[in-house]
Amino acid sequence: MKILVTVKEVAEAADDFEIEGTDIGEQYLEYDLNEWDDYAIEAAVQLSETYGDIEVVSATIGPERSEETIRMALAKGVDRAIRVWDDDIAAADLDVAAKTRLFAAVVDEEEPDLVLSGVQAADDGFGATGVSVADEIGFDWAAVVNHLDTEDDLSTAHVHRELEGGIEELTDVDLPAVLTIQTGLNEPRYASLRGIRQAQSKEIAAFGLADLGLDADAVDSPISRTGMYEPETESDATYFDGAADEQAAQLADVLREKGVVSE
Amino acid sequence: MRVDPRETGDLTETQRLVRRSIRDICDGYDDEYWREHAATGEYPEEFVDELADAGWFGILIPEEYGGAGMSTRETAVMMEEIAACGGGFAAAQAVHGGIYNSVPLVEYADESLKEELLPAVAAGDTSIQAFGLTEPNAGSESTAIETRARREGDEYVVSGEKIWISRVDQSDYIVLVARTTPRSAVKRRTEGISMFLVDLEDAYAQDALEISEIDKTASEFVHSFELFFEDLRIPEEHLIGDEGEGFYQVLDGLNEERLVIAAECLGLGELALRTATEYAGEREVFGGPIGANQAVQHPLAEAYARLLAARSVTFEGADASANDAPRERLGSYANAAKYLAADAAFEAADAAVQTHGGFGVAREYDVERYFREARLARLVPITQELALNFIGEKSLGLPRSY
Repeated sequence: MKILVTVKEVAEAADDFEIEGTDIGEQYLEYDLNEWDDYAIEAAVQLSETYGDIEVVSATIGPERSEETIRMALAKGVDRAIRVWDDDIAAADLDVAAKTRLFAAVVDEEEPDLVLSGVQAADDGFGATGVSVADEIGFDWAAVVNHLDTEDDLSTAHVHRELEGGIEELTDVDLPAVLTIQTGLNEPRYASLRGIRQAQSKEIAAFGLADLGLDADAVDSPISRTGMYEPETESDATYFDGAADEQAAQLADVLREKGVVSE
Repeated sequence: MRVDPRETGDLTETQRLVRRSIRDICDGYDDEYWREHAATGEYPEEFVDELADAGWFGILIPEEYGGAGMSTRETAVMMEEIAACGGGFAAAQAVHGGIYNSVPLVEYADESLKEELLPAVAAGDTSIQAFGLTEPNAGSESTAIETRARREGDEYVVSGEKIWISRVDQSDYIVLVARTTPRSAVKRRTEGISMFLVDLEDAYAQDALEISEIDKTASEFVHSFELFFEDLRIPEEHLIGDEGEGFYQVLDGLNEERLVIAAECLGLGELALRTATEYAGEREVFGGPIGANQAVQHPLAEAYARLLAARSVTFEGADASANDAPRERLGSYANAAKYLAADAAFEAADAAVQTHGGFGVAREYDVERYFREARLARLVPITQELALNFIGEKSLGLPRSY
């Protein structure tokens, strides 16, 4: 059996960043593994440890820099990795559809039985890629999974899905399937020292568009970024002095003044 | 800090992974954790256990014994990071021995002893955190040790006193250095010294070891002890290496270890500087952040420059050790690195205290603790003066004065 985990190296901006053009200045960015993907990796590695004979492959779309992040996944127990990148991808502003085409091509190549992906990425936060890939490749899917059990023969995943308003859906998904993993599903491990050592000899295969049977059209997008700005933040704090009843009276005045309560 | 000194060098991919993994672990331990442990003097057990579980005590143990088979380069990054993440020199010292005391076993112990112990150390199940060399009458002059190990049948019988031995309370074993031949009976004072592995539980069971904690003012959660051995019986299999060769075994690997201690000093200095820089940017006096004043800014900038320089020497030395540089050259690097890094950490911590004004001595702001640790770093494991002695004699080729 094979599990494919899609991972992303996400950018995190420093506290006092500046915007340059339509992006945050590169010097203000730090990169790390997307938090949600860390849980997806852990889920895959745990399945592999429980059942044995499961190959865990991790795939990412990213420049050479992201190999360090992928290497951390390998150090945590992923068996091998695929990094998709070339000049055309670098030049494109990747939207969900483009990422879907790339990952779908990776799925064609690898033929996994289960695809795990983080619910969303910490930087752009679309939260759509996992489900979009499922639709493209025709797998069943479950999104925002916060509890995962599997049948002993791995034919079915019993999942809990986190819905809005504190509601959980309990449902079964037949494999092959795509699950998007919510934080809190498990407790992601730290890379062990031996894991780091072993990661050095694990493969990170580099794929370009041509290797996946695609051309530059695959990363075309009808969406273009036209501007970037920091939203104005407003804050207005009022401190009340005096005894509790005096403070309560002042609060009531403010609430009336703001129209929160009527006269 | 926009350009962190830790981001300035070119690290290998393994070094970068080491740094990230240690950072992941350290993220779980905030400033308050270290502050509280310093206040209560409680050993940071949770932190150390987490490192042990992830195999970090095996960083220098060869892969065939279950370790990672890494080297000075990676260990320097690991220890710099532990110190810089908030734990300071003390946090690094809390685990330092457990990593370095396995080295003489790897190099000199019998195969059976290695097979028995090293995999357990690498797995974090057994600890060799203590190293017993210093004595009340033998500080920097290690060859003056008086603790005696006499051979009786297939055992050694040890009596004597040790002082400033750290982490004895957190260890299963101690690597003990003792004289097997009195100084008066050897041609060279460096001869006649031997190294032993002592099972501490066994020593207490024999009623042959008493320990007494030393009350001190820095690294509160790493406890140091006086040890009194009386007729401790050690099986001969626990002799590490050859009888009489112990002093040379102690010297072997000392340069590499000293480079890592320099990295621990750097981590502390970086921590102090980061704390001070953040404070200088936030604290407003006379209508603006104090960091806008050059009287505040320049000492911090100077500390940054010194840390960067010391770091460069330290990591160049670590690279040299990976490339099997000759021992004399490595000695120059190691002693220069330790000297520069301890001084840079001290200047950074001093500037950090000054930046904080009166709050500089409030425990809540941490910098007074960094300052006390930085003062300690100029004394241990060797004093700044001894590092200069080495450079004077071995690097400059001047006559030896002692």
